[in-house]
Parts: sequence; structure tokens; C-alpha cells
Amino acid sequence: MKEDEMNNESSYYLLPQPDQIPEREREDAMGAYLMMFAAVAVALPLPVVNLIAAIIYYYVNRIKSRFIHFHSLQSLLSQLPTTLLNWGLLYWSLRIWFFDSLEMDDYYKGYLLTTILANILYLVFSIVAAVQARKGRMYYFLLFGKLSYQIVFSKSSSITYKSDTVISFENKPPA
Amino acid sequence: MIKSSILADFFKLVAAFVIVWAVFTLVADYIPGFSNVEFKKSSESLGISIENEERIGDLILEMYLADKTIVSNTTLDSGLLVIYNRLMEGLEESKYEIKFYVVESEMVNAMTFPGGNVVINTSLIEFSDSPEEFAAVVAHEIGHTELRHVIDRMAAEVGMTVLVSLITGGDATVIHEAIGAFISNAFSRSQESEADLFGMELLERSHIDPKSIGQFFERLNESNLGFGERLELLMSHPHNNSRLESSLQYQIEEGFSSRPLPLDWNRIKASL
Repeated sequence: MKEDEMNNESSYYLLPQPDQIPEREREDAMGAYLMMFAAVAVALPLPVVNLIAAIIYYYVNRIKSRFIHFHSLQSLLSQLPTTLLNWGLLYWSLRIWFFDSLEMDDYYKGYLLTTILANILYLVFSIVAAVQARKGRMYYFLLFGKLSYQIVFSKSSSITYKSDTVISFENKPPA
Repeated sequence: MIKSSILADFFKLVAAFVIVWAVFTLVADYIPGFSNVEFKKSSESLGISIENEERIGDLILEMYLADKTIVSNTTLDSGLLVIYNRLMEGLEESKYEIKFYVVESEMVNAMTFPGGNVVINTSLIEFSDSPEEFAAVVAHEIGHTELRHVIDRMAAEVGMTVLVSLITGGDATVIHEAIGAFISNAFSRSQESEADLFGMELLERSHIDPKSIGQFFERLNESNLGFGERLELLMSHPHNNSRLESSLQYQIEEGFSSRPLPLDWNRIKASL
């Protein structure tokens, strides 16, 4: 979207530009995407650990600034479909492996390949997004980018960010 | 504006998932090394030779038959020999020496033991309407043997250590344990359908109508067995319905002609 178009949309907050975003915020935004690598290292076969980690990271960091909120929300939302696919794969595999009530048929093989592809795409796009966030740029995934933008930058959003709070004048010059 | 485009994106994502799944499902068989992925190991990789399997089979069979009544009379034996010879005609080359044993039992069933030993219950003969139906069930059991399902299943149930100890003799406790595990577990669904296919091909080569197995299943499904019997049957022969369906879909080659088995089936039944 071009800048003048952006400004016309009065129902949205202005996007922060790279030179306005402090180093600390960029790192936290990048961290939202890198979270999953740590989670994957902890427990690879359990497709729930990365989700829990992302949720915790999201709630801890979202109030820091709008830029961080956007990236951590996008990271959280974008792993939902992959996680669902992985759960499905785990459930299906367990049924074949332990209960033998299902066969390893072409649908299963197709699903397996689809899930592998989804995980690869998720990984690649997360790395790209992490790099962009580190540079202080917005990066929109299909669907989740728009959804996160809508939630974070819409003026109906009621969260007060630490970065937005008015500086209090506690320190005063001598009377 | 953004809201509607979010919805559009959602549908794009769902569509992409469905399309990718469909495409992968169609091409799964053409991906090298992926078409024959199976979770289960075959006995080839377990390395149990036919001779050793026969040794295990003899041990187990001896123990199993110890408290059973073996039925044997001239009418029955000569009748079974006719069916045996006909099936061996179609089998052409066998890895095993196939042997039939008829035992007295209320269960409509036949069991395949390791090493080509097929134990047939008298109720199965009584339940079969024709020698062709009976031959169809036996052909299916031979399928389990020839495809080495029996030893695969044993290896999965009792483990390699027990099998090796059985090959080298084995004590009574171990044999009992092996029999227990063997009897209480069914073949997997894929093994059943493989044996079904093998059986139908064998029947076709033996000039027996492959649809006989379907008739048998159909009557088995419709029969009024007691709850206990039915349950036991379901446990030892799961998925009757889907197997009935696949037997109906079996394509008989053109030029197939069936030769009836020259047996007085009622006389054989009466001899039990």
C-alpha cells in the first residue's frame, strides 16, 4: 500500500516507519518468529509446545508497542493452520500405527506430503518475516498479515501500549 | 475493504490446502521410494527362513492340537484331497508344504499356523454351502501363509527373542505364550485384503469362481449367530463388509471358465 493511500484510511493508526522503531522493539518483533525454533528444539514430536510458547510470548510482549503486537500476533496466527495439520497427521498416524483401523493409503500419503510442505512454507516465511521485523519493516503473510493489521492497527483497538504512554513529568527542575 | 479481503484470503488458503492435498494424493504413488512405504517390517527383513518357520509351526500346532479332537474319515479326507489338489494346481509353485487339519469346533473359522499348516474347524465345513465356498476360505488362508503374514504377525506379537527360542526348541511356557498371543490377535486389515486378493487369484487359476468368497461373506453377515460367536468372529475376521465389497469388485479375466468340484458336499458334511 502506498503512503498517501495509508493516510486516507482514517480508521487505522499510522504505520510506524523503520527509522521510528527503536532497536529494542525490532528485536522483540523478530523474537516472535524465532520463538518457534526454541520450541521445536525443546519437544519436536509434540505439535503443541510451539503453540503454547507463541501464546505466552504474545501476551507478554503485545503491550510493548504496536509494531511488536503486530508481528507477534501474525506469528501466533500463522502457526495455527500448520499446528492443526500436524495434529491431524499425528492423530492419523497413531490410528494406523497402534490401532490398525486405517490403512496407509494415498489420502494419508497426500496429507503427509501436504503437511510437510506446509511446515516448510511456514518455516521459510517465518524466517523472512523475522529478518524484515529486525529491519523495522512490516511484512504481511497471506490472510494472517491482513488479520493482524486489522486487529492491531484498527482505531477500535483498545490496548494501551507502553510506547504510547505520555511521559510523566516526575523529574522537575528546582523550584 | 480489508475485512472482505481477509475472507477472500481465508478461502484462498483453504482452497490451496485442498488442491495441494488432492494433487499429492494423486501423485503419491509416482514419487520414487514413497509409493511402497509401509510401517511394518516384513519377515524377509527379520530373516526367518521357511524351514525355521515350519519348525515353529510344528511346535505350536502340536501344542494347539493337544486338547482338540482331530476329525478324520475317508469321505472327508478324500474330499479335502480333491480340493487340495485343485488349489495346488492353481498355486503352481509353493514355498511351503501346505497341510490341512480338521478339528471339532463350534466356531465358523479356519486358522493359519506358521509353516503352511491350515487348521479348519468342522463348523466351517458345515456352514459352507458348497465345496467352492469352502475352497475360497481355504484359498484365503493359503494366501496368509504364502504372503508370510503368519510369521510377520507372530514376530510382531511375541517378538524376535521368543521366535528364536522357538526355532532352537523352546520350553512349554514359551510355546504357550506364543500360542496365546497368536490366537488372540487378528491379522491387520491390509494383510486381510492382500490375502483376499491372493485367494481370489488362486481360485481363478484353479478354475473356481472367485466370487465364492463374496457369497461366503454375504451369508456370514446375514447368518444368525449368537452374540458371543458373532463377537468372536468379528474379532478374528474384521471388516467383513469392506472385504465383501472388494470381492464383488474383483475383475475376472476374460476366458475364465469354472470347473465344478466333483464332490458330494452334503455327504462330506454328514461324515463329520
